[in-house]
Amino acid sequence: MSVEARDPGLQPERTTLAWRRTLISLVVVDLFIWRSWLTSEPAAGNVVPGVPGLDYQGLCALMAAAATVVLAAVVWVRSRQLQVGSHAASARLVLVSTLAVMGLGGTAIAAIALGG
Amino acid sequence: MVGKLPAPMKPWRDNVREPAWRRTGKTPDYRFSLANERTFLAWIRTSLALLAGAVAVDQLAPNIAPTPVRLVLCVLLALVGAGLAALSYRRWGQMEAAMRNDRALPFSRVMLVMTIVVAVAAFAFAVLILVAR
Repeated sequence: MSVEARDPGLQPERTTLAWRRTLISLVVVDLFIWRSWLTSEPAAGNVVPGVPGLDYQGLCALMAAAATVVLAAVVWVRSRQLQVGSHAASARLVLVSTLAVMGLGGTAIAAIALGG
Repeated sequence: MVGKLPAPMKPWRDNVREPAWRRTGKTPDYRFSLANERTFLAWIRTSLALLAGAVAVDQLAPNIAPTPVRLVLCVLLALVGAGLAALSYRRWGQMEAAMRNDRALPFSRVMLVMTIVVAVAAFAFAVLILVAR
């Protein structure tokens, strides 16, 4: 259950850092998608009436933010787990992070298509 | 630690719904599990890098090619990125299943395919940069 006293590989620490690096990589994609929204011409028809700025590009920006929140939550949970013990990640955590990245991929495609 | 629990990962509530392959064989050494997890994350970062590249080329180099060509290239790159995320999950599962059942780690063509994709994309963009000016 508990981590061995001597862990020459610093396994949990390396794994936590790998998760954080992944989150940082995701934020880089976010920045480009948000930039795409901010530099786009405001569309005449809003998706949600009454919310200024929320055109389809704005929706992409929101989706990117949502993917970031999901992955950040996974990283937070996993980091806490790794502080307690070096157990394998549950399949659900890994699946949720995969789906967040795939959702971000869909959002990126939408942002590219809208920006053209 | 003396009385070994049959369920390998008791502490977390979220392993109630583990896939079937997770209940086969024996739980691998935590070092191998964590290495597998980091490999998964490395593939996910590769996927994110492709996504970032796709959106960045589209936005920062609008004159690199005629708009339809640029759109198709960038959407293709982003599609590869999203697909790679799915593949990395699959690969993570295959690796752990192999470790659990003491089988050899599966060979995957993903590496060869990704090498070719990145090389072709780099070559295509290099040509476009030369032509664009």
